[in-house]
Amino acid sequence: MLSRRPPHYQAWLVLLAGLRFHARHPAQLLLTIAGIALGVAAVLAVDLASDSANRAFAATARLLRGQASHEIVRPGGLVPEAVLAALRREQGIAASAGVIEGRVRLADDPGRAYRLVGRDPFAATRVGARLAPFGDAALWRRLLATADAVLLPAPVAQALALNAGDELVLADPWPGRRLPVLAVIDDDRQRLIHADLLTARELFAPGGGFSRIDLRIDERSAARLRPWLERQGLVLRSVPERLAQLTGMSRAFRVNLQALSLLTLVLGGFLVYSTVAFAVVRRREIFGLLRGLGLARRQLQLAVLAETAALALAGVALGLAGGIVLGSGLVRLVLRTISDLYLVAAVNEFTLSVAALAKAVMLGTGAALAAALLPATEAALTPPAEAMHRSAPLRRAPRRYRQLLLLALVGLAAAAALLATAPALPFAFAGLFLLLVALALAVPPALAPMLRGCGRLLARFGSLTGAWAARGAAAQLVRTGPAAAALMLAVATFSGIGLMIGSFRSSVGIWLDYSLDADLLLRLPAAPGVDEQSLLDELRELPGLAGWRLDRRRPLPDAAGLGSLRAVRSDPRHGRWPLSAVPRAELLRSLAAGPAVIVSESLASKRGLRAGDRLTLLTPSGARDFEVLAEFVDYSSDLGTVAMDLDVYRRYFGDRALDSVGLFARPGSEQQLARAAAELAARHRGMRVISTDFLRDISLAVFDRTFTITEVLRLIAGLVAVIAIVNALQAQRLDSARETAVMRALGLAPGQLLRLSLFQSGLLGACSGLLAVPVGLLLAWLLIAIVNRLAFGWSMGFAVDVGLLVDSVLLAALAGLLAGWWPARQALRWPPARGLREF
Amino acid sequence: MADKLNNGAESPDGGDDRPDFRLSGVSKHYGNPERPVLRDLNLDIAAGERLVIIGRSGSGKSTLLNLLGALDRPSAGEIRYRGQRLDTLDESRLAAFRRREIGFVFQAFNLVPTLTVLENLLLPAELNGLPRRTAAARCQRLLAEAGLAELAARYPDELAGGEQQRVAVLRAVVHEPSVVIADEPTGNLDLDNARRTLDLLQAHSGDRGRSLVMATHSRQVIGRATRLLEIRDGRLVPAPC
Repeated sequence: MLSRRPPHYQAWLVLLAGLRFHARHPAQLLLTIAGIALGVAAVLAVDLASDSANRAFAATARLLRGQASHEIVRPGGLVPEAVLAALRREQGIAASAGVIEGRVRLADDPGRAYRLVGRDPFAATRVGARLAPFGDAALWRRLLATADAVLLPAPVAQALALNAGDELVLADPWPGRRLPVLAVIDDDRQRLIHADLLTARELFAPGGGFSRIDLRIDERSAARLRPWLERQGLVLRSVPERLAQLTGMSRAFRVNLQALSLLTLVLGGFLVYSTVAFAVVRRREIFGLLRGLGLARRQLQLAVLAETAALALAGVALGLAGGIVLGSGLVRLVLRTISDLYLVAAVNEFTLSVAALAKAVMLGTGAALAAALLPATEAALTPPAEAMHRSAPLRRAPRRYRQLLLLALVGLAAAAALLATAPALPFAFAGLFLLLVALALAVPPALAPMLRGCGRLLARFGSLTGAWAARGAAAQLVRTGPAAAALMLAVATFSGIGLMIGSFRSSVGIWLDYSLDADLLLRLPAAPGVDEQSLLDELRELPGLAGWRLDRRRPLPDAAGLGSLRAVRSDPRHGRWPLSAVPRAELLRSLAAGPAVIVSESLASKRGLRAGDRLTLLTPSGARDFEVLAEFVDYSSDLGTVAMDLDVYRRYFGDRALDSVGLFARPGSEQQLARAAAELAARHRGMRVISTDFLRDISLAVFDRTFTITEVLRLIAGLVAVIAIVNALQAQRLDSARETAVMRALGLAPGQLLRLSLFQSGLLGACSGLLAVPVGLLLAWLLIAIVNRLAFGWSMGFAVDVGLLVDSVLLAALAGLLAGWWPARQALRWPPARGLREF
Repeated sequence: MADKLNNGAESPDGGDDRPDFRLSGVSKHYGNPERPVLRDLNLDIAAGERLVIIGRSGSGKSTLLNLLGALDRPSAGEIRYRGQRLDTLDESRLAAFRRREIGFVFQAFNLVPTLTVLENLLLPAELNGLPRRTAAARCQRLLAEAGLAELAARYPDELAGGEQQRVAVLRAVVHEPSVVIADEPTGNLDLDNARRTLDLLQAHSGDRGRSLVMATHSRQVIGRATRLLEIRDGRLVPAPC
């Protein structure tokens, strides 16, 4: 009786035969490994960047928290020093420490703000602020004993090229003031300077008081303290609650990075699929033969999967190396972005995360095996006689296309349902990916009639050889479909993300135009303070001045303290607010009447605020409700902004400080005003004049840096496009080798063959590019209308850049042409007799 | 001849006194020179001749036809067509030679599956630069003469094997080449279809002063030969007709 179980060595021989096959075709082997490696590298790099973002946010949390449980702040001002003494004496809370902190700018690096934190180190230990990493107690004693001395975390010292014994020179506040660097300490945070309370007090609170008092208390003590503090106009904030809000805010950023990584994975997955499928397809006949010799289906499947695993391991190893290189670059970009957007970067080093490596390995091999499973199963299920005929899959194309269309329709319906009802970002991303995968499935059935239509047109009005090329491309789609889908997806990603960034940039540009509508910005020093009345008197004397606007910005005085509050008063002669959503005179009147505010879209979205709702802000006289009158567009931060009239602000918060004054020049007097303003600033210590054009450029530079990581992804998408199309054309050349040989036997000249091959590859690329246009538009619209709205709460206009779309189609066609060159040259190297003999 | 290949014009010295093909000392090997498929062949093929090559499987029949049709190059020796050496021409000129002088018929038909029957016939005409209207009229006439007119709009995979091979014969002669080369033209056909295909080949070749070179195992084909040669151990030897 015949055993149903064939000997094991058969499968090993099949595997060996497969590996030898690859060894004999090194260029295609490299292409396959490169496809896998590119996917793995991209995913790992984005993951490493995402990891570093997480660590930055975690370190920021440490920075904010120390180990304090609560903090006492005074909305609109400093906490009186007497409160600390009273806390200890009257309330019996020993675990309390005063902190004075503020932002400084340094003469050597005026473009960045640093956070200078002044502590009483011995009191700080009572609330658990960890001193050990910042140096030993003896060092702190020396710090207390040395006037104006500071301690620098190692990354800050490195960035500023300073060592112990050097000096920091301030640009703002107190320009020119020198702070000796006592030591460089083992602290991994950036843009942070440690000082003692006395130094910080001289800089930020010469009149006395703390920025906050840190406490370590339980909730019962907090409940007992609250009324006592409120009576003094003070607010007790829970630190974990504040951290939770910050985590919530940063989550959107991290989710976006994760989404980029997943999108890369989808692209990489299609690429891996097309390369692996191609590697299997080209040995169909061999598989048919082996099956005819008695190889069991399961053995064939296993052999193909084992061989794919071997290729995947090589690709993954290469991908890991590439991912680490790419990742170290991306980490710098991401940290810079976080630093720009959230002002709290706290890590700098590139750390290799084991989890990210493991994920990349598993996803790389998993995607490759999943990609191999379908063709391996197809190879195993195909009857041997049919497998030995190369054209067999082509005959099954219509049925395959119907199945793909059906799958695509089901996917589209599910994606639409997810996107329409997405309550949160992960659902929107799930919908988006489902949509992209569904659209990618529809590529072969959509391309086939396009290419056949080209063939018909060419047969009627052009040349038969052109028609042959177009129809050949259509007929081969059953094989080249996955690669064409990868190409479409890559080009759609390229154009979709490009459109989204372009739309965003255009909206930010418009926003900057009206929010930076003044000609010059007079930045006032936090200390020494400027007397408002005398400043206004001086402003009135400035030649060429048409008007001014007073501006006060500060952290949002609410329980969380995240986001910002902006109080603005317009010059009566000018009458405008720098916020586009407030064009109506009655709204300005309502704001001036107060208590009323307008809120940025991101704040409204995160807190579910609408016009007519009330927003509670903490004023020195206790919590107060402010009516929300409207929303306004503000891209300065996704943490949210609240704006109110400056007089209303002063009435409720009692804070008369100013941060800046916008100066408007009379037409034609801009230069004159700039000179006069510079002279005015020179008379005041710490006052600076900044051109709003400069600020606009800086803002756009920050914007561009923010999206550099996205641009890198676009580049990867472009590479995927090229590799995908090279694969497609390799498969096509193989399938049409006999036909090509026949054409050459009929007298097709080498030049004609080269032109036809390039035409065929360019046509396939261009048609895939054309399909990518609507998909790119849809992707951009979804990113703008749903994803960004859910992630950041920002709305933006949809600017369709026709040039970018045309570029995308051209990119696809060019990728096709470039990729077609090599297979065409290869085809020409063989005498026609070989094509007729071997295929 | 050189002018014809270069410019497409008839050579003034392309007289009929010379053989169509002259092979001198031609050898061919694939990879291992110690094991040539063809050894030191010498052969003249006269215009209008119907030459049939026979031999065992793997004896080199197809290799010889590929060399005659300029689909491959010899490893040694020279091949002349009407006095012009073929083995030294570059690929572009070889393509022009195939396009104008040669018509191929293959055992596996090798019609272009994505072109209709009419378009398959138009293809050599188009490659030779014939105006589409003239070429279409000629193709339609050929199809009608062969009784295949109703198949003009069909694709190859909609035809029976015999029909495909007859279309392939018409494609081989539509541009009126000087030589038709047929490699096992009846190898995939039954007796009746083989006879009809050979009738068509004969009608369009030898009888019109066109050379016909065929490789075969088939007695039917051998019966149409004006000269019969056998390849034995890589060498050509006369075989009785």
